[in-house]
Amino acid sequence: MRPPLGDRIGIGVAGAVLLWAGGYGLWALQARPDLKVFDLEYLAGSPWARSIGGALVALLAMAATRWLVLSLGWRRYGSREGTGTAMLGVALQSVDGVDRLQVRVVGGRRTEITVRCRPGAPLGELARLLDRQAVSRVRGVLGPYSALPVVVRLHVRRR
Amino acid sequence: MLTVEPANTRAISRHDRAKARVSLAGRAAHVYPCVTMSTVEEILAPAPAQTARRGTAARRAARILRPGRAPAGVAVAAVTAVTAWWITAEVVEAWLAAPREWSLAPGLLELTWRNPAMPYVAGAALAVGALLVILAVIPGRPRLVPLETVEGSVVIGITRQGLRRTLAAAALGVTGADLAYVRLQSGQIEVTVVTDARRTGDLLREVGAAVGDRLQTLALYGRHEVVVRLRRRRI
Repeated sequence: MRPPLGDRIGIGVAGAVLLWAGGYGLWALQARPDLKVFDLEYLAGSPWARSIGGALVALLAMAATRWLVLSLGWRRYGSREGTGTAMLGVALQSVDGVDRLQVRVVGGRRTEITVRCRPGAPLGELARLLDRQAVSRVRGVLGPYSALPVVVRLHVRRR
Repeated sequence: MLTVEPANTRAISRHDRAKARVSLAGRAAHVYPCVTMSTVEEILAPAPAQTARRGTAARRAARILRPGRAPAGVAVAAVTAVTAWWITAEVVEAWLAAPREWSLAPGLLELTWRNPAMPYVAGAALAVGALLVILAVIPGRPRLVPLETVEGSVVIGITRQGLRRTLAAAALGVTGADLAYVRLQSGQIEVTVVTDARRTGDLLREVGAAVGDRLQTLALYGRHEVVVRLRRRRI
């Protein structure tokens, strides 16, 4: 199972660009104070360079929009699997104190199971049951997603 | 203050086995004393393969549960998208030779490095850039506390708040404990119990045992030292 790296790569690239721009700005303040910050004379003089520059900026805009949409939506929250949730409920019916269950397939990369319990619930027994039986039973009804790695999130509510 | 370490079933059983072997070997110690000692040391030492496998699984679980930096990613993606679409609109406007009233390009294109705001802009870019690179590089604290699993493709984690609540519930199960607060630190779990009871020694031990038992059933990865503090209720 591979941890999601997309946001880290994007943040790292943006940070490196900002670091370079800030360093260049501090150098230009001392070395060339009369230079324009955005000098586009070369682009204005060459139609080819202008076209390629415009296309690159449009590509960057589309890539950033795709990154934004994926970060906000489907890749992050995934889609709920009602059948999997029902099977999880059946598998955990012997455990007292289970409050809420949810099974989601996130981006076709992994299955996320969320279990919320009351404070007195036997969490150890619940974790063992999930590890040894419940997860495999849920996988059995997920069809094409049955081979995906599973991440289980246990939470205990206040009261 | 009482420090109690969660009991480890395997460690206890290994220890018991070691004691049994020592008592059995004691009868023959006059024959092969050196052999007896090395056997005890081998039994008490953690099995290297098992320790390595457990360490690998713990590292793998921590890596999977590491934060993905989604909020920072959303912010950077939004700023980048807005800026790139704005520049694209400016380029299209230049191609069509149809200047808009809200265009910022003329003012920005005349800007030079002599402008008094430029040092601050450059400094801010450096600071934000360094922050983003640090966010991208540093692993960060896992979102969930990983639990031991048998199956390799399954990672089970409990939220830090959930762990605090279940440990507090275990501490409150002890007679005489009126309130319980749990703090999770790196390698240490601090349980503060508020009580009116006079029997402090027993209460400390009972709370430590209850929290240790709960930790043992949860089977968290790594060593967690339990520190129990007792506080008297203010009247």
